[in-house]
Amino acid sequence: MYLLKGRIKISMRLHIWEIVPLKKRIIMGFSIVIILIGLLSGILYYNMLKTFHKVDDAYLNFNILKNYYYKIEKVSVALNGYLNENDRSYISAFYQEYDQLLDEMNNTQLLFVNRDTAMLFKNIKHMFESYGEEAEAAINEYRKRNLSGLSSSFSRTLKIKSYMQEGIYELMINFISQSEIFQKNLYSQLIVLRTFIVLLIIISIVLNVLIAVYLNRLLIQPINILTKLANEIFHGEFEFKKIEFSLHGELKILSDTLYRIGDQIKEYVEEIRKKAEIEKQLQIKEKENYKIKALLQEAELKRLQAQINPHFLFNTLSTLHHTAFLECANETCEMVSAISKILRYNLRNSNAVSVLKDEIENIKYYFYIQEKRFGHRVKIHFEIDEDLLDTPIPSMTIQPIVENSFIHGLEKNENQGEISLKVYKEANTVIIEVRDNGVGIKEDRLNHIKKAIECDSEYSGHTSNLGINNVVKRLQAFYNTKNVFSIESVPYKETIIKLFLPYKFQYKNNETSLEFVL
Amino acid sequence: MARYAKSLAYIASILILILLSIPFRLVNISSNSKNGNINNFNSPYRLFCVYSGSSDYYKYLLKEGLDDAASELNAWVKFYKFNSSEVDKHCEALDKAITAKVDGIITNVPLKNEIFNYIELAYNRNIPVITIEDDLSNSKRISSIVTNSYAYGKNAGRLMILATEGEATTAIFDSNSNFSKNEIKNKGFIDAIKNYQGMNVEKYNVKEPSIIEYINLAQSIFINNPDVNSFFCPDIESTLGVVRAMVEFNKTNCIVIGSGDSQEILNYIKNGIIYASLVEDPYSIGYFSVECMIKHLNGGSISESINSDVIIVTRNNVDNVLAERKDKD
Repeated sequence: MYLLKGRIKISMRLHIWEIVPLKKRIIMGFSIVIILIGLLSGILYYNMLKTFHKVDDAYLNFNILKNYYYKIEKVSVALNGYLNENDRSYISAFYQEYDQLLDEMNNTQLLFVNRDTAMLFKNIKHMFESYGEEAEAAINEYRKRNLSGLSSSFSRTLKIKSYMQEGIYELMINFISQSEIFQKNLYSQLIVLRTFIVLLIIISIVLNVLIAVYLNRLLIQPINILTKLANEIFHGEFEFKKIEFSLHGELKILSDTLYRIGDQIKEYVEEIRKKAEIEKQLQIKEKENYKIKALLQEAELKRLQAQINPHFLFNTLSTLHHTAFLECANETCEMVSAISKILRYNLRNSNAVSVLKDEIENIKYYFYIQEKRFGHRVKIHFEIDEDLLDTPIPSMTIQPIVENSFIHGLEKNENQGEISLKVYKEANTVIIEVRDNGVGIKEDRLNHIKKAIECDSEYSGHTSNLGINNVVKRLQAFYNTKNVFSIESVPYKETIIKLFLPYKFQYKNNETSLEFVL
Repeated sequence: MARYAKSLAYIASILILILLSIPFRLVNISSNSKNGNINNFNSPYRLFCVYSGSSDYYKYLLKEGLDDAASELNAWVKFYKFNSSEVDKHCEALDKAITAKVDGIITNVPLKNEIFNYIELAYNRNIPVITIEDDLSNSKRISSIVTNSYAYGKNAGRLMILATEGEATTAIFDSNSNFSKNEIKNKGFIDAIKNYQGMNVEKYNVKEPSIIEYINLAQSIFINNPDVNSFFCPDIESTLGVVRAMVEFNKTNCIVIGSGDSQEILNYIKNGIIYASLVEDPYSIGYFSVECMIKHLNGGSISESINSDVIIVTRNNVDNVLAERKDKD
């Protein structure tokens, strides 16, 4: 339970750390390292400085003791001077020097005093007091003129002076050895400093490697993955796998945003693609319309070429009709009348919508003329379902087919020619069938025609195909269906052309038909 | 990522702790000294111990006892050590102590008269003196820490009985009045064997005791008195003199109860030439002397004579003594 609590605590702490922004985390990390290194260096510097001062101070003590040594000598010289020369200035100098030195000794400020140095110094001080006592005794003996007492006391003062000087030496040596200890300390601190620097370098390298690994895992790897992802998005590869790696803070926001951008771009592109598809289809349709228009224009041109001066032709035919009637040439009269009607039907706008009845009537006039032309060589049969005569059909649709049968089927055929026109219904389709027993169409030629119609080829190398093409395209556009035409032929036997019209087709003046009309 | 961050944090913490430990180690490198007026230093009792003797190891142990007692009882002891022949320096050290007005003096007695005078001088300057090893009972010393010489001799007698199974003629050495300590030891020895009829004592006078003198004396005993088959040597000089003569004259079958624990004596014990040696305990002497002095300075009453222990070194425990000494060296 306790362990569990600990783990929760750790994970909480880590979580808190992870929610700290990356920038702050890096700044905090580096700040801690810099502060630590600064602190450690400061402590090291302070210690070394302290040790340097100790070494200096040890030599300062040495100077103080040296001063005592000389002052003791001066006191001794003054005493000697008085006892040897009886000069009063010496005695006052002695007392002055003695008191001054004793005072100094009582207030000595020494550095780095330890138990040993303090006791050694106390010995010297007490020896100096003893020296004073013996000197006082010697002076008294001197004043009493007691030479034996003077000699004894004076020699004691010299002995004590040597003790004091020995003591000072000992103390000096003590301080020197102390300064040696400080120097050794300094040296060991330098060794520690060297170790510290080496360790600092090693630890810095290790920490840097660890931080680099950490940053690599924290930043570089995710950034690489995100960069790769951004590249994929840039190159239009939207089928990227969503990589699951634990990110926090800014990188998480960045990766989430990138994935969201990717998804959005993917949606936009999909939308654009669909639009493009629609536009493409529209363009195809438009292209088809243009083609139909071109065919119509060509048919119109053809028609105009034929209609050089329709009024002149009508007037001429009318004159011919009247002349033939007046001359009682009834056949001529009928023929001229038929031609006149065919011509009038043809001169109607070829874009106009007609019905099957008008179209068949026109064909009948056409057959009449052709019968007169070919005589008994041609037989024409009609099988018309009267119920289908109201079926809407573009004008001038059947005539080019029939004309084809005459031109290709019968003109080259020297035998009895037969052409039949059937209009009948199969299921929901009105079928117009034109059959001739002419020379037929060779297989390769037939395939060529079929292919040309299927592939929407404008020119097939023969003008007659243009007529069939024209008819097929007009029918397809008019009925908005592909399946409007079939052709079957057996060479030197027969050719059957069928047109398929939707049954009960309701012609509306809609967009397609408008285009058709145009 | 969290796992890596945790590992990184642990490793970084350990490394930083290592780094931190270094400057703190430096902080610890400092002396126990302080700055300021030297007279304000917390002053313990100032004692001088002056000792003259031949055994460095004895001096070492004596100092150890002095230092241990000083550190325990807040005293400062200045230890002056000299060889037996450096009596002048010994006296000068006592003079220094008196001049420096120390709180107390501990000294042994290499020369009775001179030391007596210094004890008088110190007494006049209110400096108490404790003698060690030897007593100057007629002086104004406040106490003496000595080995009980009579008990010492008696122990030696018992060891001799044990070594010779009560059948021996033992040579003992008599000397000048200065060596009263040896006389007391001899007395103790004689009292210990007096009830054994097989035990006899031959007493020999030594005019100027030294190792050479004892070698010569032992030689003459071997020649002139072949009945003597054992020796009781009350001090280190007599022990070394007798043993060296035994080795020289191939008389190693003689039983020697000696004194002292110099390296040479310990080697003889190890080789079975010396049966046993009685050793004073310098550590205890040093320790007791400081203890008594501090007690006196603090106004306590102390006994005039305090006996220190005697250690018996035989072949059975000589290895331990040698090992202990090696450790201390």
